[in-house]
Amino acid sequence: MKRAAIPVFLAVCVLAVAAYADAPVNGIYLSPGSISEGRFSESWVGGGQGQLGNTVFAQSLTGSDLGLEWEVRCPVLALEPDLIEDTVDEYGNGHRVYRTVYTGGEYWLIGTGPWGGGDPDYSGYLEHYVHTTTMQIAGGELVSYTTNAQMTGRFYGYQQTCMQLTIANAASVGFGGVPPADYPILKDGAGGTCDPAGIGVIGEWGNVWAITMIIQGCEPTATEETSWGTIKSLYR
Amino acid sequence: MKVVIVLAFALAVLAATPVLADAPLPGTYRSLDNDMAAGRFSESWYGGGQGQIGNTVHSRSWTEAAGFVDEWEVWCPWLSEVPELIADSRDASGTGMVEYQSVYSGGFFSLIGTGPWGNGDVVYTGWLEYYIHHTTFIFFNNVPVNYTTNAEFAGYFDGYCMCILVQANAASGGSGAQPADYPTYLEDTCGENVTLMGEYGAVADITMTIYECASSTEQSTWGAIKSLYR
Repeated sequence: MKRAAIPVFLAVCVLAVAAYADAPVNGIYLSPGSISEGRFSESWVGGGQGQLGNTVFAQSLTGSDLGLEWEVRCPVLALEPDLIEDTVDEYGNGHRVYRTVYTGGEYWLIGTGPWGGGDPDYSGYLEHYVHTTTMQIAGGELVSYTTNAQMTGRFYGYQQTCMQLTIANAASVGFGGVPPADYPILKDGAGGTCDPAGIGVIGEWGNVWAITMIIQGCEPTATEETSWGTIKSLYR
Repeated sequence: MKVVIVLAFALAVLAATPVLADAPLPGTYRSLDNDMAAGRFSESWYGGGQGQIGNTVHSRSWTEAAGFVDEWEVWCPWLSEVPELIADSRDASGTGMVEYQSVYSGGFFSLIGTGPWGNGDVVYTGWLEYYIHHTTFIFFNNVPVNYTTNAEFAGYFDGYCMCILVQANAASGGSGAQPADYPTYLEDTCGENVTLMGEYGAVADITMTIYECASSTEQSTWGAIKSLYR
């Protein structure tokens, strides 16, 4: 019985440390080059542009494939956007800049990227996700917008210090409808979920580029080889 | 005599009114739709370092295939106020994001006449009413690693009652001495000075709206002009 218990205990130990053994590799990853650019959607679950509840979903674009390398899943617009600049004149021409804070959401990274330390993939939760968006308005109508997106998040299964920080540019391609098939689908992040948005929900979509991702604080836990003799000595 | 005066005045009014025959075509033009090329920018550190008053922007159209394509240019908006800190999420180790709003003064633009906005002139030029950056830096241990920027400006065309709005994304490509394949560093007086230090990068996702300036668009009939002198 004692002999049977040892392999079981050993297997449990291996399973327990495996999650820490293959931490993502600390470093700076830029697009183009070491991380792919992508595309985004933002559902108007809240009822319109800039409304509470609207949900972001962003995916990498490699060739014509979405989401093979990374995803940002379902940060939800949590506060009324903060208008930080407004040059729109009495004729409705100018620019407006909003800072928009989201909460919740998760991220995912394939394990085969240059950050890969051995796991098939990595995921984590977002603790900070913000857009700074410049809108161009002509004749009182929104023409287009560009966005600086920023986020930080902590990896699941690793030390609390193991985190990523990312900035990126994004730009509107379309809004007020359902994204084309080559853009991420609309999502609904209500209540911490990340389900496809319901039928009839519309939103906006666009492109993501100029990504800078920093991974820091991820240290593989020491995985010292233990001799069979050492293990046996524990049970004498 | 009254008729002569009226005619003379009418001619003077016509002479003073910019000729709109070859004015750029109103509309919205986007680099995403291949209406116009993306570009590259430089910002000289004429003020002595990053974010200093006097630093001057210079942007030009660029394609990977052809380099500078002389389709559009923005030159000489210079940083005229201390950048305003919008947010700072850095932790105790100095790692996180910092956001600034930077207001520039002056500056000019040009557009080649063969673009989809072209209507007869070889080139269109104008001056900037305002020029503003919103920039998000990413810091690691108190060192800025990179940044992304939303750039915006409004301006007026020379010789026409036409206005322009532009917004674009920009991203840092590096800093230091003048690189060969980026717009030349400028002084705040618009003179080129490639001995300056500065920063440079890519411009994309440009949206340009050209429209008739609201205060100058009313057409007066001959009858209306005559009625002023009855």
